[in-house]
Amino acid sequence: METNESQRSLISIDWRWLIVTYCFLVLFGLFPSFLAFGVGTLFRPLGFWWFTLWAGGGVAIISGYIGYRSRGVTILEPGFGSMLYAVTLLAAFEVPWKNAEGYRFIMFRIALVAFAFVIGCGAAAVGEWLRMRKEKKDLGS
Amino acid sequence: MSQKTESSEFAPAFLWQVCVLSIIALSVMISSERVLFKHTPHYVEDPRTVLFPWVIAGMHTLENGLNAFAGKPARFPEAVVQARVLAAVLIGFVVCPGAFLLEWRRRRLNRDGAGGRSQLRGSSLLYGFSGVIALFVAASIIPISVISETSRQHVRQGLAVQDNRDLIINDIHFLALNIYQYRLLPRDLGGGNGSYRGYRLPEEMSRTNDATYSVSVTDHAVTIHAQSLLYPTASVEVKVDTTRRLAWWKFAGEFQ
Repeated sequence: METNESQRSLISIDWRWLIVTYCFLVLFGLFPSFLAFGVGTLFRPLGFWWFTLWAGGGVAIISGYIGYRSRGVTILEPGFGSMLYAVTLLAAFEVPWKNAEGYRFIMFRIALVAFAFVIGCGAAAVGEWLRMRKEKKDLGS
Repeated sequence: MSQKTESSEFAPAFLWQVCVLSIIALSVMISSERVLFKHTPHYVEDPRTVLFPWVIAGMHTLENGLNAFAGKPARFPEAVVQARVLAAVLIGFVVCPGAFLLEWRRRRLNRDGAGGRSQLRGSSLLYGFSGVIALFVAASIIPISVISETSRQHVRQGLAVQDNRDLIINDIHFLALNIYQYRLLPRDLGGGNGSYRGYRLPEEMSRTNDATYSVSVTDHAVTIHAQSLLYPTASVEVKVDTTRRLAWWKFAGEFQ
C-alpha cells in the first residue's frame, strides 16, 4: 500500500509546484540576470555559452531548492518547470534576434530544452535526497 | 489529492502573488530589451546592467571622450541614464541589502517560535529576491575591484612607457640635428666635411634624465643607440643617413 502511495506521488504532478518552479526561475534566475547584465546581450554569439551555463546553474539551484523544500516527492514538477523556462528564454529572448540562418541550430535548441528537463529533475532529486537525509537525521536525534 | 498537496505548503495568496510578480518581471524584461535598448544613437553601446552604476558612468565617460575626439561638445547624461544610475544605486546598495538584512534578522528572532516548516509567503519572495541581489552584488565587488585596479595599473604602466619612449625619440631628433651639422661643417670648423667619420657624441648629450645615448659611426651613416634609464630592458636604435633622415627604427623591450 505504501509502495502504491509513493508511486502515485512520483508520477502525479502537483501543478502548484510546477508554477512555483517556473515563477522562481523567472524571479530568482532570469530577473537578477537581467538586472546584472541584460538578457539580450547574453544571447549574442559570444555570450550564448556563458548564458547556457549561467541559466543551467540557476535551474539546478532552484530545482534543488524546490525538491528540498516541498513535502512528498517533487521531481517532475521542477523538470517541467525548467523546460517551460527554457522555452520562455528561447522564445522571448533568442528567437526575435535570429534570422533564417539561425534556425539551422534548431536541434540544438530542442536539446537545450531536454537538457533543462534533465537538470531540473536531477537537481530536484538531489534536493529530495538531502531532505530525506535531514529528516532521517532529525528522527535519529 | 496526492500526498504532496494534502496540507498546504503555501500561504493563501502566495500563488497568485508569485504569478503576478513573474508576469510583471517578464513584461519588464521583454519590453526593455525591445524598446529601451532598441536604438541608441551613441558611439558606445548602452550597457545592459541595472545593478552596476559605474558601468553606466563609464559608458557615458567613453561616449563623451569620443564626442570630444569628433569635435562635438560633451553631453550631460540623459534623464534615462540618470534614472538607471539612481535605480542601480537604490536597488543594489540600499533596498535589497536593507530588505534582506531586516528579514534575515526577523527570521532569526522568530526561529524558536516557529515549529516545523513554515509556509511559502510573499515575504519569502522578497527575502529570496533581496538575498539573491545583495549576495550577487557583494560577491561581484571583489573581482570587479581586482580587475579594475589591475587594468588601471596596466594603463598607467603603458602610459609611462609611452611617455619615456616619446621623450627618447624627441632627444634622438635633436641628436640627429647635431650629427648632420657635423657632416655639413668643414674640418676647419670642427666638422666632418661631408662625412660622419670622426663624429663624437658631446658629453652633455650622451645622458639625459630618460636615457643614455651612444653612437657608432661610418662614413655615410651614424647609428644612435638609446638605452632607457627607467626601463633597463627597453632601448631604441636608429640610423641617421646622409640626408639626415632617420631610418631603420628598432624598438626593444617594453618599447616594442
